[in-house]
Amino acid sequence: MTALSPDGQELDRYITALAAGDREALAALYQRTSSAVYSFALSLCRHTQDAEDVLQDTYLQAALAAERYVPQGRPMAWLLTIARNAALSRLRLRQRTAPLEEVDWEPTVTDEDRLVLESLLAGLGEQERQIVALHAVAGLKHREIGELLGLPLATVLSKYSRALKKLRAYLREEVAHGA
Amino acid sequence: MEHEELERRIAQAAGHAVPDILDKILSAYDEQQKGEIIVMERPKRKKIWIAPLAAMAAVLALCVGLLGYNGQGRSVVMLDVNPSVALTVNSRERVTEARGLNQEGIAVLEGMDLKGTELGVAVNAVIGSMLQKGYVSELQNAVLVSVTDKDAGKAAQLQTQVSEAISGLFAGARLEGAVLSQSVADTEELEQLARSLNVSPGKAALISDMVGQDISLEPEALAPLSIHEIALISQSRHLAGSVTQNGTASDRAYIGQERAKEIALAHAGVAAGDVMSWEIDLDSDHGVMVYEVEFSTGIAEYEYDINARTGEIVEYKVDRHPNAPGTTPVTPPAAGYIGEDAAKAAALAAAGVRESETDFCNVHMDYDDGRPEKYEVEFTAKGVRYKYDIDLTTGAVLSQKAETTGGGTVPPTAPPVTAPVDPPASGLIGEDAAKAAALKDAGVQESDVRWCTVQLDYDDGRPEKYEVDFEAGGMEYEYKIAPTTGAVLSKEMEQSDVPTGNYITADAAKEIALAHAGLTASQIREYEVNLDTDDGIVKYVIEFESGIYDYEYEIDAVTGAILEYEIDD
Repeated sequence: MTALSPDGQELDRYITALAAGDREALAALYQRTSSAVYSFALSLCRHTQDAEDVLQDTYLQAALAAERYVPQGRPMAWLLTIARNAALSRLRLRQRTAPLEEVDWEPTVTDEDRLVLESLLAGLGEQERQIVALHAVAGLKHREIGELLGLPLATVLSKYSRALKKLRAYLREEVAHGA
Repeated sequence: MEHEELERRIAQAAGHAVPDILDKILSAYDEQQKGEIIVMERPKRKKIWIAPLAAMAAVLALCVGLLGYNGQGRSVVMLDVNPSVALTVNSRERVTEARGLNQEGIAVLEGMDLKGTELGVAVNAVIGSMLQKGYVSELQNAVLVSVTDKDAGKAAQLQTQVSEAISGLFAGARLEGAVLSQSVADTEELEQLARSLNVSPGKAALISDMVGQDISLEPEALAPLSIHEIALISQSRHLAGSVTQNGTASDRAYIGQERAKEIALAHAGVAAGDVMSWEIDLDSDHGVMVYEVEFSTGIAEYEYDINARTGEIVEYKVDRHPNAPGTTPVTPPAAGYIGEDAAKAAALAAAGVRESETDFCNVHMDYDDGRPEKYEVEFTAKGVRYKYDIDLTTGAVLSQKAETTGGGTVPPTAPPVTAPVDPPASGLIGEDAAKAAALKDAGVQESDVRWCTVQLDYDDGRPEKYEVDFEAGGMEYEYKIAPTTGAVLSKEMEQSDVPTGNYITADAAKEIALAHAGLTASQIREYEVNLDTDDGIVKYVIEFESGIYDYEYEIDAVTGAILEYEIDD
């Protein structure tokens, strides 16, 4: 096991405090991790409202599960596993992923952001999206992504590099078309 | 744009896109802390749910009340149907918390306030709600009761009491159902399994119990099923394990084993009298309940997956015995194999890789028709993934494959060992005849074929078989045809996951790819075509080789647009 990164230790502390019923720890955990959880949820649901629901489900589930959390320096992987399960229950409820057109971005999203997000959603396959969200946003190591998604390391590596290649091409094309 | 720059932009966009719902989460958290049932984002109904089986409730409450349960601490009773509900009770058998463990479980508890009620009343209310909401019915009627308590004796007692009470409720509602029950230890491993399967700890314990008895079952395939479906699978395989079962899960919604057998025989054109051995089990295939019908005759082995509700053939596979129609029994050579270590050494030597350079290495013996066929050695080193097939007795490299995993470069010295050195030109029936033989056997007209790939496969430099893959009538077929006689060596069929639609032909897609590559049909070899669906886009995946290059195209099957291409040397 690799040494704890400062981030990991900090998050471990929040989760431990959350287990003891510390409300502030939940807020701190949310602030440090919500963009990772959200982007992963979005990569699974492809629907902003669903992803928002998953975001809420994830932190409430995390609060319930915190007492069983064993700190081992991998709090992100733990949190994202909860997020994944929350997203899968939502999707099962819906039976399938929602159509892509209903995208309703936050006002904080710039034109450039929108371009990047929409290329992620439209230009990549499901696993590619998840892998990119988990690595580029959540900062998970490829090996951890493999464990989370049940994929061999080699597959994660090749899909990741392929996904970035695709994204670059997609963005180039979008810019060329003056999108 | 560099990798890092792109990653930075993605992270920034994600940071901007996340909605600020912290306040909403904190207030939901406060509710959750009060120990109330949380029903996310649904207004709570004022009405308190009244059990339709109120009379039963009184009896049940009495039963549970008689437990003489002196416990310090608490027990948890989990009820799984497909909805999962967990009731935590204190030493006085009063519910301190009622929680839906999945969305359906939350729906079942909707509008109920069970806090402070007696366990018996609560169980009655929960099962009553499941009946009312249709989760428990005549055709879907198995419940799993799982009890956790530090005191094993108490857990067992509670398990019996609650399951007997539910059997009573079933009888009262004139349902013939099964109540499965177990005591489970609340361990971290179980919690982890439950989380990874996305099921309750109780259901996870049941699944792990079954998989422990029958290794052909897969936890992931069982997880999405209802307890009723899981109970049927367990019954059909006569599994016992540590789970107690009262009553029988009804398979009235299914066609039954006999009918499944008839369907398979009729399709295979085999008379019941010619069958030498049978095996029929229920299983699930991508969440669909199927009868797995396996049988063998003197000529071949057959495997069918038949949809248990509709009788539709979901998948089948036929393997001719290698010596058929002769009668020579196949006896596996007992000794003379070089062993896994030697196979590994042979593969590493062929790749020019030292064992210390490998990230992981996996060796196993590969079987064909139950007989050892070859060693398969897989390893990665310096960013390249290698796969070798090694001869069992001589250690010779039968085939090899190397691909980059993103970082590395595939070494140029990887000549295909099995390349046909001198393929005999005569005696082969040819690709057209092989295709015709496969279509004829499948009863498919040429005009109904959406795409078709024919390839001559070599083994040790000699033509071994034609592989004919095609799709027609919503089914995908894989045939292996004898190269000189045109006889069907084996066949497989499964439902295609490509939706029906108006697609360009495979030949048109091939022309588009060839035009893009600037090649003519005569300049390419190893041509393969496949129709695939990804995120709702149906596309042809076309691969071929020309000169030293490998080409791969993805072509939109509706518009003919080139979605992606790759050319590698």
